[in-house]
Amino acid sequence: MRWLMGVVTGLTLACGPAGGGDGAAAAGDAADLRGRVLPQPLAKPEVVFTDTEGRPYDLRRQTEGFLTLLFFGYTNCPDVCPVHMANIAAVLKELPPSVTMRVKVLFVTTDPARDTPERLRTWLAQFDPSFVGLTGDTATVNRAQAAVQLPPSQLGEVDSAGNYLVGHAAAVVAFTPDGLARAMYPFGIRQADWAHDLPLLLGIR
Amino acid sequence: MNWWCAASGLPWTWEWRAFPGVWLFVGAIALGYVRALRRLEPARFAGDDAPTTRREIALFFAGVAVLWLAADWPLGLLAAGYLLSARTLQYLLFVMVAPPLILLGLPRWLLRRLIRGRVAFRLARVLSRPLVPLLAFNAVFIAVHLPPVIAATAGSQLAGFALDVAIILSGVVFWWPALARLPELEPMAYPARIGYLLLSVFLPTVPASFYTYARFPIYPLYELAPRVHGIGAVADQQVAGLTMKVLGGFILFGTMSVMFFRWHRIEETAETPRKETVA
Repeated sequence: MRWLMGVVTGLTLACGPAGGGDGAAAAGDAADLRGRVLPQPLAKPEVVFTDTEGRPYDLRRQTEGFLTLLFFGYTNCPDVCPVHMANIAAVLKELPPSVTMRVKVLFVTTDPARDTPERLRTWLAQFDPSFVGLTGDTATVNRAQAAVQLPPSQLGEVDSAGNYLVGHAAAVVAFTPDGLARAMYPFGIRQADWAHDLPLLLGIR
Repeated sequence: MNWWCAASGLPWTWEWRAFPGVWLFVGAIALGYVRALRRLEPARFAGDDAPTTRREIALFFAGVAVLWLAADWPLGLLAAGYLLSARTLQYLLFVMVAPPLILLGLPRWLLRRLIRGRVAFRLARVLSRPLVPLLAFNAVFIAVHLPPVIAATAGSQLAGFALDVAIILSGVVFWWPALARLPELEPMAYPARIGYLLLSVFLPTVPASFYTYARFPIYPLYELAPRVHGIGAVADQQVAGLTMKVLGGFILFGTMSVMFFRWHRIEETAETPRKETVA
C-alpha cells in the first residue's frame, strides 16, 4: 500500500505546483535540495571563456549575482547533453519570471574542434535562446572542470566517418547567487526536481 | 541480437532493426490459426456452425498484422524506450484493435473447439459476464501504466515481452463479453454490452488526464530518453494523453454505435411479424 501511495503522490507532484507555493524564491536550506549537495561549497572558477559572439566571457564577473548552472558538454553528444538542456529549458518555461530572470545557464563545450560558435549558438537556441554557449582552449576548460571537482573530458576514438564521442562529466554545477557551488545535478535529475530546487537555490545565502 | 523491443538508452535512428522474437510470436499465432483451420475444420457443421469464411480469415490476419505492426520496429522500439505517445498508441493497438479483429476472425466451430473442456468452458462463461473482464482489464491497465512497473521493465526484453503479452491477453478478455460470439455462453444483451463499453470509455480518463495536464513528465524512462527529433518530454506526454482519450474513445464509441444499430435492427425484426399480424 505504501508504494501505491508513493505512486499517487508522485503523480500528484508531477501535476501540481513545484516546490513551495508559486515557485518564487524562498529562503532555502541546502539540505532541502534534491541535487547532490556538496559537502563543502566550491568557489566559482576564475576563468575567461569566449562566447558565441567571439567576446571574452569572464565567468565570475558576468554571472555575479545570478544562479548559475554550469555544464560541460558538446553538441554531438547523443544523450546526456541534449536531455539536460531540454529539461532545464522546459522547467525554466514553467517557472515565474521572478526566478528565471535570475538564472543563467552556461554550456561550455568540451569539443571545440567541432563546436564552432555558430554551431554552438544554433544548437543551444533550440532549447532556449538565453542559454550561453562558451568555448575555450583545452587547458582552460580542464582547469575550470578541475576547479569544480569534475574530471577532464576525453576524446574517444575517431571512426571511419570522422565521428567521435567525448567522455565528459554529466553533472550540472549549480552556483548560488553568492558565487558558491552548492550542489551538482547528475544525469537522471528530473524536471520536477529542477522545478523544486531552482527557487530554493536562489534563496540560499 | 535483440529479440524483443526494449529500452537501450541509445540515440534514436531510423535505421531498421530486426526483432526476430516479434516475428516468431506473430508467426506462431498465424501458423497456429492456419493449422487449426486445416486440421480441425469439420466436414459437416451443426447448429450455427459454418465453414470458415473469407471475411473471418481476413479479419484474423488483419488482427495479426496489427499485432506485428505494434510490436515490431519502429513503433515497438519507440514505445519501449523513447516516446510515451508511441507506447500509448501501441497499447491501444494491442487492446483495442488487434483482439477484436482476432476474435472476430475465429470461426464459431473453432471457438467451440477451444472451450470444449469443462474448465475452459467455465472460464469462457465467467468471462462472458462483465465483472471479471472489467476487473482484469483495468487491473492490467493500471499495472502496466504504473511508473515503477515501467521503470522496472524498461531495459529487459523478457519483461517487455511478458508485459506485452499480458496487455494483449487483457484486450482479448476485455472484448470477449462485448463480441459474445457463442450463444451457449449466455452473453449479455446488446444494451448491457453497450453499457459495458461505455463504462470503459470513462475509466482511462484518469491516466489520460494525468498525461495531458501534468506540468512535468511522469515517467523517468521517457523524460530521460534520447530525444526523437527534439520532441519534448511534456509535449510527448500530452500527445499520449490525447491519444489515449480520443483514439480509445473513438474505437469504443464506434463499436457501441455498431452494436446499437444491430440491436435496433433485431428489435425491428422482432416487432415486424407482430405488426403484420395486427394489420
